Amino acid sequence: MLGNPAGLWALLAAPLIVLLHLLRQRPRPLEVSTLFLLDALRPEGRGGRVIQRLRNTAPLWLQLFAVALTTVLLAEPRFLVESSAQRVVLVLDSSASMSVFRDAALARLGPRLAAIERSAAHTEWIALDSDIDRGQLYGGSQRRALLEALQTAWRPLGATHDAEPALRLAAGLAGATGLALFVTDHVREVPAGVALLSAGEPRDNVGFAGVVLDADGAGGFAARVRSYADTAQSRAFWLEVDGERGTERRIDLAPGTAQLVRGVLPEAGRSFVLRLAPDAFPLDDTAPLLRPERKRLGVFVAPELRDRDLLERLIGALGDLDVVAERAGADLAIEAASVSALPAADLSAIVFVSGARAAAESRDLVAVPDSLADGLTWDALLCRHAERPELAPDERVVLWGGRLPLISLRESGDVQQLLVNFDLRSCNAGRLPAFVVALARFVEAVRDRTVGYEARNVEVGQLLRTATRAGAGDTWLRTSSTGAARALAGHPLVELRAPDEPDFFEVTQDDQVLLRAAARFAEVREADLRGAGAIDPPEDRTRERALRNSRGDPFRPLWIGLLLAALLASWWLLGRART
Amino acid sequence: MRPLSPTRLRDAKRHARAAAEQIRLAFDGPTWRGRSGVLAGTAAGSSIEYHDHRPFLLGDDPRDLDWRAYARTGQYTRKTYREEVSPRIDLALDLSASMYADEGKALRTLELFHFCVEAGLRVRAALCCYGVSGSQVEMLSLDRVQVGEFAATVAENDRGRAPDLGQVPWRAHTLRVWISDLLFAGEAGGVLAGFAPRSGRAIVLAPHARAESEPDWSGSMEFIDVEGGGRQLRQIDERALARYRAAYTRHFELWSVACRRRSIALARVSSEGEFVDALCAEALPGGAVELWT
Repeated sequence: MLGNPAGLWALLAAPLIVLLHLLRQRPRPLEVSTLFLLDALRPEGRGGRVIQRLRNTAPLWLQLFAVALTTVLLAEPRFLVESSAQRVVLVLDSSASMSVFRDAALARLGPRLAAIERSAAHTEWIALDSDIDRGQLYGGSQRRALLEALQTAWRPLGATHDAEPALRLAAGLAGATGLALFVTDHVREVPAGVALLSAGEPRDNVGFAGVVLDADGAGGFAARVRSYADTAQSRAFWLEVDGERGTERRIDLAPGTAQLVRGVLPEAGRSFVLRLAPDAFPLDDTAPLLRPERKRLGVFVAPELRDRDLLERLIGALGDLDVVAERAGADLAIEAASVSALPAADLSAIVFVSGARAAAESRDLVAVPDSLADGLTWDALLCRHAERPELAPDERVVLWGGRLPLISLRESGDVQQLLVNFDLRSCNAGRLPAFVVALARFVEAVRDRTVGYEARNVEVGQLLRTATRAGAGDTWLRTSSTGAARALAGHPLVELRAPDEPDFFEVTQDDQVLLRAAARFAEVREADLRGAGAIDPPEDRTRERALRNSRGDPFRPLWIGLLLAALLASWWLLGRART
Repeated sequence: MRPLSPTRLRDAKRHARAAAEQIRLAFDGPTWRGRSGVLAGTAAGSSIEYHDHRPFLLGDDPRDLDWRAYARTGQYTRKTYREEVSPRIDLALDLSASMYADEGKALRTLELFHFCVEAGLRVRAALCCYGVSGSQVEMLSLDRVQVGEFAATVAENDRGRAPDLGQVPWRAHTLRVWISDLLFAGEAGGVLAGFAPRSGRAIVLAPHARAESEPDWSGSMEFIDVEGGGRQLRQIDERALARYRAAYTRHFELWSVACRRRSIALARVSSEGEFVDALCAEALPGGAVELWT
């Protein structure tokens, strides 16, 4: 590297010297007596040319050599110390807006990394995702491998998230002698010790900001189309039904405004895609849609409870519940049991435990933090509860009444049982919203663990759970656009994330479709590209590291000596030529 | 042409005189005719050098009888002795400006001239001096041999032209001496045609300067002809210099060949160093001068 790159300007003296040597020297007059012998030489006219053929003379080469030596001395070449090392930590912005500028960012990054690499003899490269939960993209010492890894592994499609934890980690890893570099698309504040490289630029965008299907199941939908532009925008849009493009319509939007687009999904279709004419940000120009179908649950209500108004209302309110006559064919049973004869854990059930003894006092009611009871207020509950001598090993209490469990939960494998230890007839639980909500939550929890078909409209990257059968074959996630399949693990619930890009996908087990879904982009904060901008990290830190990791030219005194010798020799030769 | 200082002129004469005490023009070889002198003539004379025997005739001096011959032959005979004559020397001096452009060469030219004069005086030669420039020939009196006076006689239209030696009124049976640097264009044979004698001898003494034979030219030069005033712009590099030297050498080789063909002794006399040494370097082995015996 060069300690003083400005020293290279000294090379401009070389063409000047060549020009001086091209210029015709003023002829030296000399009286001779042998002019007739000079006829053997080629004459030049009296007028002469101002520019003559470049003569290959020693002073020319000595002067050019002196220019070269002067340039070397002024530029101050430096040489890396063999043992010098640095760590460079890149944090790559994985939010969806970055997808527009990913290629531009990689193009800017390549030369920048090459320059950084030249500032030490050895460089360790680490690439982190800006979403710290996503982990490391690359770790190694090869810049080319790093760039290849970024090309394949860095797919910025995520939701808006806080990059601060990843940046602080990067700054810590880089240390005082390394470099932490945040690659993003918006110019923003970064923590101390982190440099910023932004490759964005303001872009106009129009996209779907939300799609809602009518709850009545008639197929009506309303899609919100939003403009993220400072000028009026006009876009064409259409509905595709099972891949068939429908009638195109246009929508005109004033700057920064949104409009609703309404329509009805045709009865005959199975998969639908709302599309806008593509623009700078294509993720929100496509909204795949399905007619949602909830997983149906077979419910058996014990005969002694069938006349309970609460249960009738609950079953009616929850929806997608099929009342079955036989317990054997049900997914959920609602039954009563005595304290001494609790039902076996063979079927998920809501069990009303009879044998009330005393009324629970409200002040003694304590809800244990649980998904069933979170956010619910039980203060108004008045009930007479059963005394349970002891809890089963697999039972946990959700609501305490003093020392006694009022509501508890048993889980045994795939089976869950909600034990209500008080009599509905002698309490006000039926009028308590918390109780109804808790029951509804339990029913939904049972529904989640019940293997069955459902169709859903979800968001890209959304975390989903699907119940699978034990002892059956592998579970697969297949995306519609690519046909790629990925095996899923987990039982009884398999966790998966919806694809990162708008698409249809299915979860299957033994060729049985358990989940059919349409994922659409919903992170509207990433759709506004007007604030994107570009900035490069300052050069001075790289230069600082390079100077620290290098040593000066050990041959400097030799160049100085050669320069003086060349100048003196040229001066002497020219003087001799003149005389 | 800058005139030489009186001091340098005196030095030239002094050097010439000193040289003439050791060296003389090459008189040996041909038989000379003329008035009484110091060189052997063709006829009988009163020198001490034996010439021939002849019968003693009435009126001869009895002291000339060769009594030994009489004792041997019983005939009255007498010895005759070679006559001693003074040769005739025609000395032509090139007055072109090139002879005097270089101070050293001008001095050497005068030294040569005075040497020839001195050498002629020592043998009591009948000396005629001429100044030649182009087609102009001027008789020179010895007391006019000054650098400045030579230049004044050269006509404008004769500047740079080869000397026409045919215009010189050469005498028969003379030693012809031509002092010239031979630096002019033209075929040597044509110039020598008016110089080579039918009888007698011819010598060419050519002074030269190192600046002519080994110039240190380089770069852009404007050459000015000292004789014609012509100018030429030249770019001189090593190759051009080498071609010049080759042309210079070739020029004098042609002159040497032409002189040899006509039995003319050509001696180049360097203007460097002492006059005697310069004269002996080539003129002595070349037969243009000889040592006094």
